[in-house]
Amino acid sequence: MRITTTLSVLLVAASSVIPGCTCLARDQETYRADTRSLVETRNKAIKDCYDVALTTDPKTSGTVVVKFKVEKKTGKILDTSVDGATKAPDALSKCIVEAVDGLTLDPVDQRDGLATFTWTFRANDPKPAPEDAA
Amino acid sequence: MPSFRPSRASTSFLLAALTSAAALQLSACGPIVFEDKSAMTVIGDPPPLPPKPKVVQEKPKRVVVEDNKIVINEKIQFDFNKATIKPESDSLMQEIIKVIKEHPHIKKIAIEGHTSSEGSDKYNLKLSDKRAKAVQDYLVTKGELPKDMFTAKGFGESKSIADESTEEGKEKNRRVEFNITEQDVTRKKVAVDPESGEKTVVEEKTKTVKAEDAK
Repeated sequence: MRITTTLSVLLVAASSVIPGCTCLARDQETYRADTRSLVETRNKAIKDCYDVALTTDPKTSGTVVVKFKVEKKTGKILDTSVDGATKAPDALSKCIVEAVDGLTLDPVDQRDGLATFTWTFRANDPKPAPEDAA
Repeated sequence: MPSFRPSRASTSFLLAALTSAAALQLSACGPIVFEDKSAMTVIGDPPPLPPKPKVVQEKPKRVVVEDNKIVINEKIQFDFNKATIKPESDSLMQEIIKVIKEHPHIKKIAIEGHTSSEGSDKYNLKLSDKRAKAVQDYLVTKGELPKDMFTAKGFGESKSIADESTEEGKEKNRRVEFNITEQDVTRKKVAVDPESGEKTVVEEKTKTVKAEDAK
């Protein structure tokens, strides 16, 4: 009788844990790849950030490292911040953070993801003025 | 009816299996940390370069006032073997008049006529003198400049400035020169404010300098 009771308790305990994890459980590499695909949807916005920075200084270049959390319940990118390894103007880094923040990973994962992504920026040579090129 | 009675060993195994399964599930719900090792490269397009400033080539001035002479970067044309100024030199002559009037500090000008070595010395001396006087006459009559402002003299081929063995050199030697022999020179003492950098004239002295004085 005692054994039966113990087994019942364990089964109840196990079943209480399992339903909380019915969502997708990615491995680390899949989580990274899926998140990268997600942030890549903002490539245009990120290039715009850079082009704006280039209007201020046509020689702007560097690296922006961004950290964020992918929330398990919602898939939302939260707590986005610029990492100390960043070597780029503040305005550019801030623009990247704003471009990435709020994206949503779909389907959501059963675990939070703590991600680090890096962008490197380099500029083409400026084109000659239209009237000079003509 | 047979009844299932788990043995103590099988119960322990089941207990261990369930515990590890639960632990595995719990650990699977912890955060997963990952870092994307390959940076995403963004190639930017800087704004196009500003248009190059258009170089406007200024026409070189035909008449330029230097320290002690008026340089004419074009020749006064005369009729062949005569001291008559050709009509095509009218605009140049008008420009000389204008420049002289624009520089009231110029008080006296010596007009000098020069020729190449072609022809006799005597003839060249006479022709160059006549041409210098023709220029003076033009400036006085058409430019309404005071006659006593000018002296006019021909030097023939005696003051050549270029090699006479070439046509180019001969052409250079055929010329009329305007030497300033007397002019007002103003000297100013200027005080500069050390804070604003503003300049103020504190003393101004003008005196007439003759060519001989300057030498």
